[in-house]
Amino acid sequence: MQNNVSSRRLSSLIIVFILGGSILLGGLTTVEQDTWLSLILSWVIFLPLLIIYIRVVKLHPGMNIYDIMVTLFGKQVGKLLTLAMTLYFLYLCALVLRNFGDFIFIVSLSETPHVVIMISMVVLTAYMAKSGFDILMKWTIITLPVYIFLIAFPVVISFEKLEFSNLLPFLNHPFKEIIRSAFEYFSFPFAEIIVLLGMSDSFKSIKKPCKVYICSTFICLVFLLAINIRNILLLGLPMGKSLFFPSYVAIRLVDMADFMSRIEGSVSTNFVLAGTAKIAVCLLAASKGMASLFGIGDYKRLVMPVAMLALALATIAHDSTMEMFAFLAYYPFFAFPFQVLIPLLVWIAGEIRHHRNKNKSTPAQA
Amino acid sequence: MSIVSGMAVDKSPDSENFRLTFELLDTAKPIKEQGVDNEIVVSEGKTFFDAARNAKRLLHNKLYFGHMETAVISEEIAKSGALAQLIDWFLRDIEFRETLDIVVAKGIPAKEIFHTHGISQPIVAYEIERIINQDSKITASTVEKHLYELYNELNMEGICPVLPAVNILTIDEKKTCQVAGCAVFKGTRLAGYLTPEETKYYLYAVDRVDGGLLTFPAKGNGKDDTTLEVIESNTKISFTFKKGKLKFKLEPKVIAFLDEIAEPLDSLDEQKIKELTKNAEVSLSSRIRNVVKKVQGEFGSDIFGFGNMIYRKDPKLWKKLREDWSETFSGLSVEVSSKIEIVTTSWLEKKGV
Amino acid sequence: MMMMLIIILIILFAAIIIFDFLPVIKIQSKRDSFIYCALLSIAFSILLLFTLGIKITGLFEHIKDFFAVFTGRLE
Repeated sequence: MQNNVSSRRLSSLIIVFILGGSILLGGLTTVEQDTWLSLILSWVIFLPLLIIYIRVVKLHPGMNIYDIMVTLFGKQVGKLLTLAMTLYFLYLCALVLRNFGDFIFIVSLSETPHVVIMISMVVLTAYMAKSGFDILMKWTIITLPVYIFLIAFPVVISFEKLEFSNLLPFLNHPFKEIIRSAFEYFSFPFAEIIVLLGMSDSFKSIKKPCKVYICSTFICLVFLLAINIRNILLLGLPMGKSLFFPSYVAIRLVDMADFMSRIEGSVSTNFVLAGTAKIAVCLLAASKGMASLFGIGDYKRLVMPVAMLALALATIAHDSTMEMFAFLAYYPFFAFPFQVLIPLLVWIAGEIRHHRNKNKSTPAQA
Repeated sequence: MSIVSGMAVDKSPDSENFRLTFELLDTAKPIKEQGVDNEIVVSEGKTFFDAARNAKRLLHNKLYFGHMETAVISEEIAKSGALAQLIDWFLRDIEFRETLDIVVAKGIPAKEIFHTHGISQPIVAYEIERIINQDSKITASTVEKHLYELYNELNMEGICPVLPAVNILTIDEKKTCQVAGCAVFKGTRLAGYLTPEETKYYLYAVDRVDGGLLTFPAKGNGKDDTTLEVIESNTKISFTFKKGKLKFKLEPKVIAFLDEIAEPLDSLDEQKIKELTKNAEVSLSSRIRNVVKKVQGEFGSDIFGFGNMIYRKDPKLWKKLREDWSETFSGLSVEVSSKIEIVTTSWLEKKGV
Repeated sequence: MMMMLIIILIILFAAIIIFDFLPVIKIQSKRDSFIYCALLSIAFSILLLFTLGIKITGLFEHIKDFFAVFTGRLE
């Protein structure tokens, strides 16, 4: 019973976290109508990495990645790696915060300075982070049904407006491009799940972690596909390509009979719900990292300053919205060491240690 | 804020500026007693947004475009290619609805449209939008083109847009506007018009018919004296490319009621019905073919999306053809073969009188 | 505009100090308090500089240059 609840909570956390930013971008990449293939490929590429993450958690139960790194590599190197990961989580937090700030700025509050919008978000999410991991998971469980409904409902009522011919010409793009786009999706949003490792010490043990993680991320894939394809089918290509926030505009085209139209508020709502969760998770992970770095026992003390740091970073990270979107192309490279290299290192070292320990115990029995 | 229901775009007669005419919802008068009335506001500017902002010079409130349904552009604007700039403004600004209708004012300055009286309701912009929106089911005499669809068509390969056209009808000194066929564009410039009749057959060619009527001569020639009410219509569009020759085939399939006939008819007479059907089919096919020919010859603008279809189904072929598509299109051979199914003759079994 | 932003900033940090920091200042070790203040000060200074209009180069430029090497190769 305990396990069931835990795995459900973890599932919803994963889903809300991953879908957080991407739902909004609904992104059409350079491969346009073949984006769906890039999406599927990116998930496939992501699976091995996911299994590595799961394995790392399994090898070191009750520890988060900072503790693991210190244990495996000693204090000096461990702390260095901790610094690296913490900075990444912090910057990620800032990026997501900036995404939100810009979206709300463009769509609703054009006269409010960016900073103010972000302050409101960061204060809220800092409070969420301070409340602890458990509360955060409960939050995602409550918001998940709302979230799913707000995604599914517009898709359903937009059904008659979908132009399936917008998917043609099929696979007209060079395969190299499709793979390249797949890498973009790989690092954002899938591989960002690494952030959860920053607080894996709070995970209650789950019976079949593999199933939970893989199913949750698969559900995310399905949703992302649904949204992506819906956007293409509704908007058509030239529109889809030119917009900053295709999902938002796509919903604006939909109406049901004569009484329900302009439901784009649902997209904003969704975004805020999921976004707060995502930022809160990143804050938690970064705070834990900071706490581990400076040897402070209770990470909750540091949440506020870390939140302010994230805010500060968010304001200076990009000069304009255009820059924010341009950055997406570089993000896979920037995130690569933190999403892939360091975790790989940790995994390999962990496996080596595990086998060494196993071998140590067997000679004693003999 | 002042709620704008419709906007007319003209070129200023005495300068290089654009002149915008806004139809506002007058919310000052008590709505319950008199219904909503409209107000007209005019302003000029160097660019479209400039003109819109300049309206604040004579208004208490800023203009709010969130409820704007219709934008009417004059022929001059349409011919000049400024449509692209207008659309850019509409799309970039989040206030405008992507589903707003863009309409061409045929033969008159666009602002005249808003000086007319709506017959069923006082707000002209909403009336135009309603007429166009329901047209495809009832009269099939014009096209509906939302802002985002227009943008797509202007930016896609192998297709040129058409927009609905409106003009003014004077009944007993009262002016009202009516929808009058469609405006054909080549790229972003106006190339010409199709009459409502011609537009109907254009709609068959692009499979955008949801209803409407078909008239034809029962005997195969002479005046149209029979009316079919279209219930369902699907057109299959296909092409073949053999030996360097491109050929398109349009196959409209129509299910209809027989609603009006001048000659005596025993509707249970299969032979007679078959003959009627055949004449209807011939009439439909030839009229569609005529419209296609007219567009090919007079405008040279691929409003049927034939090029776009090639792009979607056979991108490699399109790569070869896209350079000279305009010429190729004008010389394209298009075959039309209609199939009509008359399912019932409504209430009467035999002729009425 | 700028004045208002600075005031908002000051109110924000004052609120944080009052509600978050002061309650724990007696319980915490001196070292912890020091780290808290240090982090908060960094954040505050960056935000203040930003509000005053002094531009701190967006990290974007540096990251872009750094990775132009890799992207150049992959293109």
